[in-house]
Amino acid sequence: MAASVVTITSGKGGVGKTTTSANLAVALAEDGFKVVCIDGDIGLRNLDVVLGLENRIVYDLVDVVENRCRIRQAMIRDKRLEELYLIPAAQTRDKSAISPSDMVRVCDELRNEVDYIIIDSPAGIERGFRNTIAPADLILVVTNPEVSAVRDADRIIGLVEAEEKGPAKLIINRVNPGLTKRGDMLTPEDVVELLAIELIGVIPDDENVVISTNRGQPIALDPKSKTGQAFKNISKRIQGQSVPFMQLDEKGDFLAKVAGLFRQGGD
Amino acid sequence: MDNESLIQIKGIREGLLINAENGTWDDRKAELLRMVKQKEAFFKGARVCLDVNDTALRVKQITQLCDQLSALNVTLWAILSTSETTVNNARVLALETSLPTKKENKEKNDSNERVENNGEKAVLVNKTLRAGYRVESLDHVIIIGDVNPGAEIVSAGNIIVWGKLKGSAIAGAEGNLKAVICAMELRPTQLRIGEKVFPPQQKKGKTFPEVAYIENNECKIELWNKEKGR
Repeated sequence: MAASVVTITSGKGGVGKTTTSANLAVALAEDGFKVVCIDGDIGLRNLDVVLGLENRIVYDLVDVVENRCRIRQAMIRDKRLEELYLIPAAQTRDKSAISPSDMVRVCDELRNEVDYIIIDSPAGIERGFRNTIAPADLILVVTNPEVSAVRDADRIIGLVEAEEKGPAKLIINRVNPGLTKRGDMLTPEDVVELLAIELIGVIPDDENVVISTNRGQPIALDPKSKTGQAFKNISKRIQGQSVPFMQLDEKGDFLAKVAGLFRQGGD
Repeated sequence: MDNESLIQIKGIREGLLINAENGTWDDRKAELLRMVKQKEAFFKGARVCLDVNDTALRVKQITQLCDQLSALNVTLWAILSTSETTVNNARVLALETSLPTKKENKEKNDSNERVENNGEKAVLVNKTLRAGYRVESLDHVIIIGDVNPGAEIVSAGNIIVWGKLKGSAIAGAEGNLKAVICAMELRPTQLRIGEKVFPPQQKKGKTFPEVAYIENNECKIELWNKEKGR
């Protein structure tokens, strides 16, 4: 089966694209799929750090594109999971080193060998963004429940539609049930209402994510973590399974409401 | 020299109008770029409007042409087309999609009563405008969908939003103070009619269809009320 290419993007920086990419890749690989992550953030790479593969980089994406190595040589295999690979970005070049057609070519070469290709997009709407959405079959837009992040997500969704790559799906990251309950944070419902696209996951705000990111151990590897579970649920939804939305707050039921909201809109 | 017929250039009030109606898009583009390069001195700094007839152009094709032309010091400011795709994509890129109507027409419109604006042209956008989109027109603008924060509408006439207006809207942009802005839900980032900027408003809870207008040089926002005869 030919692989599907999933691009994780957001517009705004710092909302959790790289963390989401790493965890989705881990979750898909745990389910037995062969997964390649591609770091599309050339010049500011960090997917390798989050995956804990930093010290094993020999060749990178630009080397592949400029034919200095074969694609196989640039694929770093994860030691924890058999079928997880990373193609890192170059640190010393910039986004103009590759073009959208280069990305399409690289992905086409990988399509027959793997099940999923996860591409981590850089922040912004320029060349780097265009590179990463060019090969995508599915685009996931990550946002935080913050007005500025939602604004940028809206812009990105518009650009994705304009490139005829839509409809994108939405991940809301760093939801704090306490704050939303007090009305001090946008609720997932507010975000979904404004952006009007299908919600594919809600990730709670969790300090363990910072810890696991710093250690290079994606939280999806931790079987006990609720946040890790949230990423695994997204991975299941990418596979086409229907998984109910997790309750973030023991008492509240707002996530169930969100699910209801998008089902209404999605029909 | 066959290719000559692919491209015709005309001088108009707003700059140059280039007709490229026939042939494949790649041929036409190549021919246009060739001509511009050949007559570099003539085209330098020119503002051009491109008529592509019914060709459906994608965003990428338009941006490519824009980039290539601007590398040659030529600004593409408008694309005329009968293809809806092309028109929508051009709007996404903030390009004009119609030539300005003649001054005389506009003055005649201005003297009309608001109520009697029957049969005037309007731009209809049948989708939600997301952040970064801009719709600009000398005609009235009608949006079926929402206008999200970060999106902008500029119209010389009225603006009607069948949805939530949360972005910015400028009606009567050419100075027509009789223009109105109405929306099913009026929670704009900014409203302007002509030169008048509406003071920011805070709204909580449920809202109703409203209309914004200028009366005696004052900004007014009222619930939509058919008894007013508007």
